[in-house]
Amino acid sequence: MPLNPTLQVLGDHGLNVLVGDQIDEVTNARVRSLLKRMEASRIGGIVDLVATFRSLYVAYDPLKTDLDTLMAAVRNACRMGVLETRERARLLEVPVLYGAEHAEELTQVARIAGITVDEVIRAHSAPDYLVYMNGSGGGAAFIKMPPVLAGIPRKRTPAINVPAGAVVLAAGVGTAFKASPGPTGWYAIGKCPLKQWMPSREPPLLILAGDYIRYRPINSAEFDAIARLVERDEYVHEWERYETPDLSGEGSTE
Amino acid sequence: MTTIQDRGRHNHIRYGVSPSGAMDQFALRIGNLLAGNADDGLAGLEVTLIGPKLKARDRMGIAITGADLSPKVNDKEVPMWRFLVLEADGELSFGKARSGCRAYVCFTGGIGVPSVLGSRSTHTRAAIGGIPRALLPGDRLPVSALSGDMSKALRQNVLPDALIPAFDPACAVDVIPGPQEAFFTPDSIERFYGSEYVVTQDSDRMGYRLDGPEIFRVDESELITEATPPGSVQISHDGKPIILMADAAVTGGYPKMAVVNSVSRDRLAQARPGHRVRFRRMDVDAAHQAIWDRERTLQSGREHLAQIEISSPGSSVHLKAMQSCP
Repeated sequence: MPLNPTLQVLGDHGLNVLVGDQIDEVTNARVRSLLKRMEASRIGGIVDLVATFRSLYVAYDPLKTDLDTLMAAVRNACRMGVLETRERARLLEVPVLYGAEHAEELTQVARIAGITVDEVIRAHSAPDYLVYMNGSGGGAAFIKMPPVLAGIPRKRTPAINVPAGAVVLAAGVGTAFKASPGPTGWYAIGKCPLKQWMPSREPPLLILAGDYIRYRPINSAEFDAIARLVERDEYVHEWERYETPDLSGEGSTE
Repeated sequence: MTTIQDRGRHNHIRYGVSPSGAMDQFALRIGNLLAGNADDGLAGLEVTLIGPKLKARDRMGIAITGADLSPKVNDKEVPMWRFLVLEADGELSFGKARSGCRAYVCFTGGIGVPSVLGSRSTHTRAAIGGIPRALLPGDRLPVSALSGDMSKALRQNVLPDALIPAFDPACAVDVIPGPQEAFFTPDSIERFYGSEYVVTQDSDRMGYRLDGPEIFRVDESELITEATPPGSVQISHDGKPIILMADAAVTGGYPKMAVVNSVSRDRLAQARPGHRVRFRRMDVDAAHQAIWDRERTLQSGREHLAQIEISSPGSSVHLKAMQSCP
């Protein structure tokens, strides 16, 4: 089906294509599909294409194309509609030590959600999460929080330096874990010993948009053991094959 | 702080990699042309406020542009915005920061550190780059040696005064209104464009936190995380603007009041903590015109300045020390 997006000028070398107005798997599948469509069309002057939750960011070189040409190309790609409705994906088990140095924030999250810390851990480690996008801080894998944790807001003032590996969430979303140390306005509830950033690989990331993840609670001894293996590049990432639900949004698989 | 920067890595945003690159792109590019490089995007040094002390192993060609940090060769002040010869064993150092914030040292032939994901630029926080951190005493940077013929050819490379930018402590920054302008109250939008904001100490290559009149939102609605290109002026929950710069996160969920134009970002790169900025509305066509104007200036520089071909780096510049605070 054709897409009917909103095109937004984002500075003098960016265009934001809003495909929908909420975070859901159907909208996100359309964004990723539009990205593939745009790549295949080889439109001149495009520097990069970035799929986010519900929009596609088109970075362009204004010396190589103009906005009218670019917008026409985007609308044309949208008219061609989504490419596929069902994907063969993969799922990674992500070990996480809940609490630890983030115990205080884990407690805050439980208090805001009105549940116990154990309930936060159970709710957080239950779902199979779709990775909607790779984003800030070294390509972190962005996921959508289950309803019981969806009401946690962003902090009023971002924390200046949160370590890589921190499992963070806010405003209905989270990342698998922080890919690089740095500031964040999100709450940290635990830490993961894996590394998202793999500079020697192309693409240089462990978990990519379109993958699925599931959290597995671990204790501090397991954390240390896995961290040692990761450090030596000997950790075997546990990928499983994953059959995605129908993402056509129409209940059919065309 | 001194880092290696070129024009940046612009096509790994999808993997969360910030563009990085010289904060003041014009200064780097014109510096490369002055140093005799046909490619104006070769890697140079970005020196922020406090300069290093560098020693040349062999004779080499350099050009210093951007902020005036009182550059000296063998303790004697040297002119900026022109080609200079650094003789073998010559020492380049810096002194008092007179104007601007970031100086660029470009070398004839560039700096030959490895390219990572298509760029030699350093992103310190992400530890990406040919040298993935700020430079330290003892570092040796591969640079080409310069022959007598080459220095003769490049001696006349001087930038006309009219093209040298001035870096005042107060500057106007052109912005294109952001897609979430409607998140803010009409009063706040008026205040944003009608007031002066001060660059705070909490400002670096990732972003500039500004202080000034508070911006209020219409309601508490949250933005779904999306792309945040450099120049994005986000308003955090405390109502203060944060301007994202070259090393900023590539996505974010704070609403964007505006996006600073590429050309104005060069000017912003030279603003120090305590300096003042005012925002000026501009439409995207005018912003593109400004990019074309800058390109034409660089093109005329390219036509009037001599460029030479140089083979791969065979010498090195040795970073001897980081200067103490002036």
